[in-house]
Amino acid sequence: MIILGILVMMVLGILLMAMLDVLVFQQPFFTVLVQLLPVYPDTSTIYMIIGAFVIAAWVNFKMTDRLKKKYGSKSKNQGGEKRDTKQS
Amino acid sequence: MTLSKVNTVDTFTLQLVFLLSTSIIFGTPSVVPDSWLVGIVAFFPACLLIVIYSTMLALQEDRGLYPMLEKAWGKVIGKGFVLIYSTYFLYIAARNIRDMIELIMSTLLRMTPVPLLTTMFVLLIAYTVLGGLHAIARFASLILWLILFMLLTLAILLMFSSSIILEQMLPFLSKGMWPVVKSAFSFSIWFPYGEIIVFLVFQPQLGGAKGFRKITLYAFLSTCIILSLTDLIQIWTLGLEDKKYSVFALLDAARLINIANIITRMDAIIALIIIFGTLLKCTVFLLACTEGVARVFNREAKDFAFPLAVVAGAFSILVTRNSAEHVTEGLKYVIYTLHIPLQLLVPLLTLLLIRIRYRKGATT
Repeated sequence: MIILGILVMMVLGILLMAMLDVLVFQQPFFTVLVQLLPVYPDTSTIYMIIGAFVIAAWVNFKMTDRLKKKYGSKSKNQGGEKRDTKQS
Repeated sequence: MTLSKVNTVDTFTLQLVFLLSTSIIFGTPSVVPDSWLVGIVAFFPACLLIVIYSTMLALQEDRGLYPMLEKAWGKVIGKGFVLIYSTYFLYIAARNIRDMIELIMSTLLRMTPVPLLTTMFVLLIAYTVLGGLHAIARFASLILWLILFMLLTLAILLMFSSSIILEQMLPFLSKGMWPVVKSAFSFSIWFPYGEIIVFLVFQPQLGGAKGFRKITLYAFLSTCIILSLTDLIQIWTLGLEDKKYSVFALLDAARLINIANIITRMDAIIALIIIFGTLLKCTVFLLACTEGVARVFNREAKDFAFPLAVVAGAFSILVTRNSAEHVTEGLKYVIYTLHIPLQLLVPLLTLLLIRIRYRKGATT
């Protein structure tokens, strides 16, 4: 649902910006939309948008918890056990 | 679950810094010579917005904006409006980020690539959003003192460097009062005063209708005084003509400080004020946006903080092609297509619908 949310917000945002550009430049909607889409020459925004979706996917599929379960929890418990034995 | 409320002082400082932040960068739009008067004139009609918003809150037992929209317009249309408001807040956040990036690019970090600056800034915003409204409000208290101290220092230093010439504000009202009133109604009510609508989203955590009315009135009054004073400082130092053509007038005024060739280049101080202020303003907008999206898609708001912040960063690059278009779009088209409908018309219609649907005695 997070990925869908980001997608919806991005589409709505781009439509809003295109609508404003239609008013500013007095050009047809599709011309403005094509010029607005970050394809060429500045590709940096594409990387940012991909980054946003990667973060959204990371949160959506709970990657932190999964990785913690797979790699992190074992060593943490061991540390806890060691501390417990020291205290006792 | 009951939400703990942000205290009154923190709410006031949050609103004040929010209203001041980007307005200080550009000042009151210099479409008329006596721009310092515009802010004062705009204050009175802006108070009507407080009346509308607080009446909405009072009628719906201090619910936030989003539940109010759903209650008034029904589930489906209400959710549509929630999405529209979320997009509006995201767009305004993107514009504010662009404002700040333009300023940094022209004054401090000329060689740094824009995407790098933007990414670093939006990650900071997202991190602040994760702190929640309480943390942002406490952060605002800190920033407010910094802003006031730096503005006072600026005024004193300008005075000592003999840059303030009071005659520069003449001729006073050369075109009469009408252009001032017109400018107040066309621009200054909607930016910055009207943007206070974003605080309706957080009302369950703020003071409710009664608190909102009082605190916002004081915040508006303080903003009006501070903005008029900074406008006056700009006019006294730069003159009417230079101020009209200056993009960052306060920054240009700060550049004039020169005390015995020792204290110079104080524009960095102004840039710092603006960076802090913009950070807070963008955080508030992004927080409101995440709450809206989270409401529609049934997730926690913090899950959307980082992805939406990065999207806002990308939008800040896409939003306009150059700074001339950025200013024209902001002053002309955004006001009539976004600010007036979403700050005045939709709230008025919502208020009307709530009045009709939930008359006295009917359950809300």
